[in-house]
Amino acid sequence: MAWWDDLDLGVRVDRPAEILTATATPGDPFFTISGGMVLLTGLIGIITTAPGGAQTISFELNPDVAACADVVLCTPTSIAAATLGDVVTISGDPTDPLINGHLASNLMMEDAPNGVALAPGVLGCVIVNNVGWMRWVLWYKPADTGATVVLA
Amino acid sequence: MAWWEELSLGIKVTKDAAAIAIDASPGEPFFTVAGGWVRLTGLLGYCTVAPGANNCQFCLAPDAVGAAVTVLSLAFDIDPATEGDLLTITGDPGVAMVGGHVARQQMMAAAPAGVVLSPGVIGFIADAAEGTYRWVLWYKPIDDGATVTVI
Repeated sequence: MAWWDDLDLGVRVDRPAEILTATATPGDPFFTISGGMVLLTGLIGIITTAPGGAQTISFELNPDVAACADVVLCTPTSIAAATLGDVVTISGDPTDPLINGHLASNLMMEDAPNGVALAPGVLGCVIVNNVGWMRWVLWYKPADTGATVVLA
Repeated sequence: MAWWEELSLGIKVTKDAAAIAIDASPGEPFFTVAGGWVRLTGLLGYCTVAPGANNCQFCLAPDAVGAAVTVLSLAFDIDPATEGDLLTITGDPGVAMVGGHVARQQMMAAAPAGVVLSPGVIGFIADAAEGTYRWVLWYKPIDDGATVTVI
């Protein structure tokens, strides 16, 4: 890992805008964590097309190790009220809902300012309906040397 | 201390996977804090072999004569964990270690700026020889020349 990977929120990974596609747990594969543990330091979603109707989403980690259980990064929440340009994120506390609403600003990782440690696996978005378009930005820092997060 | 050691969580120290042994307070020596105060900014365990019932906690045995052993967390039964699960501390010594059958953990949620430690030995207390973990610790020196090294 280069020293600059440790600056600020760490390494950034962008996921281009796409329609939200209904996917049950452990969710639509959005990001793949491999090579070791990472610290998730930020995860934001930007609405590019308003859902315009009922839509509920959340995030889960599906660990690579078979014995591991799927774990939530936040609880499901409705983004029905969101419109173009609104921002959603997570607090870092897995018992909190995704932070959303008709808001173009949000606090970043307010309950986990040092990040959330994640084991290798796939970070998925659990989506209830086929409405709304979003793009995503994730930041991470490798906890193990060589650990990475890439688009799934 | 180099400026880059102040970046992010600071300096990383890793401890290879090892079976947990029974150790009463002040615990099995895991890391040595030497040369002055440090800020402990992260302490993360990765389960490589699932444990049975095993109540565990971290503590610091200070070098200074007369200083008391202090806990870094309260005891926690790591039993539900399987390979790939994570274990950590919140930074609040009045709170149990955070573990369970989960592969995700908040990092130092109660002490985002770290926990100040005097020179001494960070030990791991366990009441059973159950489970194998590897560990990653992060720290930042407060005193010039202060270090944390694996034992």
